[in-house]
Amino acid sequence: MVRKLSKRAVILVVGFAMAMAAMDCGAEAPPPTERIVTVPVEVEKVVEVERVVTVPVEVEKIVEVERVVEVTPAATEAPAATPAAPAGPAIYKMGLFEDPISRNTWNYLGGPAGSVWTGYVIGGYSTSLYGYSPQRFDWVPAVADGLPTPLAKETVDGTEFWTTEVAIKQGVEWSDGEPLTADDFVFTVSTVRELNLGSNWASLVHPAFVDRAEALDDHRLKIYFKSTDADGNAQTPGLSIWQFGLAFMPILPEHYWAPVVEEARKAGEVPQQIEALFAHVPDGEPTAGGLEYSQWEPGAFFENTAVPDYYSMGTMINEYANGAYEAINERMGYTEVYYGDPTGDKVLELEVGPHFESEIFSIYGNQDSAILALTKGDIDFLFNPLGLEKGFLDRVRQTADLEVVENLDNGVFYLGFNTRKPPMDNKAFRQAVATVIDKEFVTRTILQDTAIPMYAMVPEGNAFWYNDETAKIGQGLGRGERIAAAVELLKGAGFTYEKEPEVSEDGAFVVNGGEGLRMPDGSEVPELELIAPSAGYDPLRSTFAIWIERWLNDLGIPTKARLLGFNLIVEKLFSETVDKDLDMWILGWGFTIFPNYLENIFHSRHAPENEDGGVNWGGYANPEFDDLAFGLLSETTIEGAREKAYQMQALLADDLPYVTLFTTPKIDVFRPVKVEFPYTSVLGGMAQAQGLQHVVLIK
Amino acid sequence: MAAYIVKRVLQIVLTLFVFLTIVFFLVNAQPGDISRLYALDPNLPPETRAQMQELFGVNEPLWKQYLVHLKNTVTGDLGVSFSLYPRTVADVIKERLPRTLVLFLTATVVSFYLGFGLGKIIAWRRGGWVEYTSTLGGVTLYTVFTPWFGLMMIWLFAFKAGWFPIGKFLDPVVWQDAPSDANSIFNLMLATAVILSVIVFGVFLVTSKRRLGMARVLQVGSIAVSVLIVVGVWLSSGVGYLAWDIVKHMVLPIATLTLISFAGTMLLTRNSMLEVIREDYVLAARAKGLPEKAVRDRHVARNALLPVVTSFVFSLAFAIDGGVIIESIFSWPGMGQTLVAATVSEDLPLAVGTFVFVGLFVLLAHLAADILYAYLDPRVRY
Amino acid sequence: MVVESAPVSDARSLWRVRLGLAARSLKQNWSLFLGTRIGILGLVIICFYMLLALAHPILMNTVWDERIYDPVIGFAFDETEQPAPPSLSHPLGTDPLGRDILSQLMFSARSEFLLGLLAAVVTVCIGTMVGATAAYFGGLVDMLLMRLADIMIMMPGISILIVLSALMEVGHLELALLIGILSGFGGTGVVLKSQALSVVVKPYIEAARTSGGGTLHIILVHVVPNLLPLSFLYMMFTVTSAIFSEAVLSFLGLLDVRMSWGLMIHTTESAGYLLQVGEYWWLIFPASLSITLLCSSFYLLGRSLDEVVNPRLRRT
Repeated sequence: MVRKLSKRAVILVVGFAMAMAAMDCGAEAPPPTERIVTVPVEVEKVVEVERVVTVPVEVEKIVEVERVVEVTPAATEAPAATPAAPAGPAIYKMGLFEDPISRNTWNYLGGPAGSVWTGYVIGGYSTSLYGYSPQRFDWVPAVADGLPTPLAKETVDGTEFWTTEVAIKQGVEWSDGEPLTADDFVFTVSTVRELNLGSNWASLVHPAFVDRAEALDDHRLKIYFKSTDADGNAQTPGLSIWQFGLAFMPILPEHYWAPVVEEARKAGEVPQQIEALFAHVPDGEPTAGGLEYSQWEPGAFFENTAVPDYYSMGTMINEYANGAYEAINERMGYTEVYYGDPTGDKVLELEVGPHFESEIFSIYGNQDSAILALTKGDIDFLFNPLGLEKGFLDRVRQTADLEVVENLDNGVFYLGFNTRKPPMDNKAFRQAVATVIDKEFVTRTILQDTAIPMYAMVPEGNAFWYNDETAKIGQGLGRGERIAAAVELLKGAGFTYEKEPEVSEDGAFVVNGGEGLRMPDGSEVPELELIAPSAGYDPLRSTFAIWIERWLNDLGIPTKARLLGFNLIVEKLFSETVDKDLDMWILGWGFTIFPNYLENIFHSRHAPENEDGGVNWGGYANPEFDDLAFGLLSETTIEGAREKAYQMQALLADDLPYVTLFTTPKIDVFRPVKVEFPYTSVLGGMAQAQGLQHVVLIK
Repeated sequence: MAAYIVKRVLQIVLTLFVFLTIVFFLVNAQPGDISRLYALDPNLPPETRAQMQELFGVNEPLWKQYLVHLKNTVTGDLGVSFSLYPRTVADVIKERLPRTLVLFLTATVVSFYLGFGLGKIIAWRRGGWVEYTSTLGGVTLYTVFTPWFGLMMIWLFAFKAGWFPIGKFLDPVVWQDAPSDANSIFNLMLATAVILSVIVFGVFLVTSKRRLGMARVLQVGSIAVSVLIVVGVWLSSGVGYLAWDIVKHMVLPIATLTLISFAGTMLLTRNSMLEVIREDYVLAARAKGLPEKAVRDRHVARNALLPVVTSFVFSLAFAIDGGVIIESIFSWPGMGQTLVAATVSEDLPLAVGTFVFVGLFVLLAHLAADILYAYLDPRVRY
Repeated sequence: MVVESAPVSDARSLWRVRLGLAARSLKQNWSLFLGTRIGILGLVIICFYMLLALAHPILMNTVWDERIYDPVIGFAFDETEQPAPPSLSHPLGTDPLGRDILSQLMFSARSEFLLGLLAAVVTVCIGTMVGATAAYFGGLVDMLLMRLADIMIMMPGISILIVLSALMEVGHLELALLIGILSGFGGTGVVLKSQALSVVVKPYIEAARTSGGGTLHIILVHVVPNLLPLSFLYMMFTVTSAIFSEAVLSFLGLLDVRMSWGLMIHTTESAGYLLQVGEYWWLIFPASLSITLLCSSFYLLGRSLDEVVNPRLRRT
């Protein structure tokens, strides 16, 4: 059904489904602002007030809810089609392109094992205090019991901390029957801190903010955040540190790992200790995430089995059009309701599984054989983060028993400027470049709709954080108009031409390119180098690069596109002399939901030559932006964070340290005769949602 | 002879040392290191990269890394892989090597026999249509664009006809809860292959002095018996069905490899035969009135075998190199794929380790070929 | 004075004699070559592709509009859907990015030839010098060069090119040099050395040496010319391996080139049309068949030259 929808319709569906976008909801939906007030992390006045006051969150315990024994996935017309007991054991068969690197979660999140493939395979082993709800990305409890207490300032032994308390659900067990307690969380945090684990662990347990966690009793936790940074300046653990950071940290079993960690700590210096910990092969490691390791034949397949005693097994989750979220777990005896009254239309209704005995990930060496396997029925779902290009798409669409789902991706491909060097330091110049780039032409005509043009630094699919009101430079203009507008911009900023570009009568193409373009200071515009991925690495970006090269030369900006392999581009960006050598480059980013990446990419402190270092390769430095970005990090309210994110997007779309080019739709393929998903539209695609392993139904 | 072998061994040790040096500096001459790839996530704190560098030891000066590399290689320690951190390179190679060996040794042997057989025929019947078609066909396949050819084979025989599985080396459903892992099976298969080839070699050695017809009967008979015994042993072992599953998956890649490589052996055999045919003893044999077939197989082919066998030894060594394409097309995760993946992900220790291993393999093959040559050809005396 | 000029005039007259001999043997060899048939087939195919390569710039400057037919940034505005099937204006259709396949094919033919020839010339220059030097001097020089050759032969060819292309910017030029160096110092060098060994023991070398000819002079004037037929043969094989390597590396997406046959297949593959053999044959066959045909034609040419050069292979 979904495959018949046009792209625009899919965007709407995703927008509708997005966690915090209330805009598309029907008339009965409350106005968005009201709903946001009830977001649990809401606090007033952060900086000066000692005790943070919260708006009470309404959490009604619903006493009687009609229990549906077997639920049919939402929006199917079949009358309560209870999945009949399958003939053999139910197996969820998926395809991968690479082996996972390790089964060790420490390694997965702290080392080179952090590949997407590892995530797909072992992501279902662990659980955290809080998590995202299915499809909508609501921030909801996982093993936490209710919401955390609001952040408060507290002085312990003369040191001031921000603290919060969290309860853990009673009766949650590891797969070996041991109870999951506050000590497990404390153990995980302290191990990360003591070994100073890097990579994802460092962004989950941020070393500059997280001080420690304490177990008040078996099921109650207290977390201490540092209230000052290393230099003694006051700081607040914002959303990205606590709610979207530490709260999402996977909790690992102390009773299994404590002896291992102790053994590892005997090995030499800290790096050797880390190596020893990462090298541990976790045979028999108990899990709490509903899935457990069973068999791995490297290069061929990986198998997990479902844990029947998974605490969340059988939980009914309902998401309502009015934004309400409801989770009912009869076995454990809890009901959770957030974000409003669970009444009115349901947009999602599902029962948490896993609804299979085991899942098998088969590994394929290339897309062709994986697609063949899918068409032949060897696998029912394919993890394909590489994207599915037109030819594959044609092929799977021709196959009757395959269904194709298209979702928006949470990422961007962009053209970056080295804003330290003239003429790229000139805003009018950057705007002129943005004006002549016809994104719609390349994405629609040349790339045949395999890409979607983008204008803001937050993808449209991330509807809650996306600001639609940003400048869309050049949108809808013809070639002649673009050239005229760009020339106007350049001349307005003091650039001069010996000969302006000449456009054909119908305005469709440039007859003679501009010549002798001089900068405001009178010197000639030097030949600029545009580095971009080669056609071998990414045909989409190299196509863009070649067209941009042509358009800039038409405008009279001498440009040479240099198409390189990915490693070589990265190498150039990380080179010591990036500030002098770089002119323009084309690359891409994949994003998180919470847009704190804006700070990481564009804050001037993240320019490589500055102390903090980072990925602001273009050396973008704008004090106004820096203020906003820093504010975003310490922002503790969703609404405040959104306001800042909106302003940052608007500023970036006008000042253009990057010209955002396009994003690609994420396409997933599955066999509806074998598997059934309660929902298929989800930001970033079904692969990013780990193939919906916990909710899929096997027929 | 002994002095010659000692000299060759010394030379090879020296060559290996130079090879190690070249490989190390070549691979390390590349700009950047793996830590960059892990610094690419904008949400990660910048310290992460420094920590990665420390973890991998890539912040040490180059000469120090080089000395460590030499020392470690000599002691058999190929280091720790970056991309599969913290698995050791030796461990990774141990996992991937048997798969590559089983597939490519089989394919090389099959294509050797096919090439040698055809080569004999076309050298004997010069100018016939057999020569032209097999030369043309052979050369076309020999120079065919391998990735495309491999995919065509998959499309035709696995997808359209459905005779063989699509890629991979085993069927996960068959292997679910298997009593043994794939590598043990691969090792057992290798052992079987070695035993079988020793038997075949022995049979040929023993029967070579007998009359042609008699020899043929003895050869076929004893080989059939030993194959039956081997099959029987596998069937009764309880893991036979696993080996059978692997064999099913091997047919298509082996057919592809054979088709694209037999022409090399075929043309070499032909040329070698043409040179031998002119020797006087061939004339003498014919003059004696021996049947054509006997002259061809006994007198010409046997003497023409020499260069073919040496080239066969080399091609064994290069199996790993040629594996890059076929392995990736057929989803066969062996040494070739490992090398490409390690290179692309800048996993220097793994790339160097794989490379050194391939080099060692080739060097030993060289040595074996030299010794074989010296042993087989009475004209070569050093 | 007379003594000094002797080698020069000697060399000149020697060359004249050689040219005469060469002309005669060329005629002889040509008829031998004609007899091999497979060589003729190879030559015909090579000529065909050479014509394609030469025709491309002419077509681009006359009938083909650059905006539509440019092999890299052209776009078939006259087609509604890409890839478009063959039509009058696009005899081999268009690729998934709307570019004319025939134009790409012809444009790439030129770079394949340049790549192959450059690699071959580099190989032969290095190989002949290595072979002649090693054979002439023997001893330590021979030892060093041959051990170097061992290492070069040891280098797994495709693998090392893959490694190198990830490490540095490898385009057509770099690839040609790399292949030339690998094969010149490696296999070709060894083969030419064994040929040179039979030359350096000839009496006229000894004569040249006793008459005071310089080392370089002897190598260049007396040894190298005798290696040329064999080197020419090995040039053909180098061309094959250069074109093949380029195709494989481009197919794997490892080369920094804007257009080539391998890249055409890569585009087809990454766009997912590689297995739609029936429906999208024009995306698959022109490029892969061209690679196969040109590779095998050079190989066939090499084989038949082998028959010409090597008397023992000749038909009796």
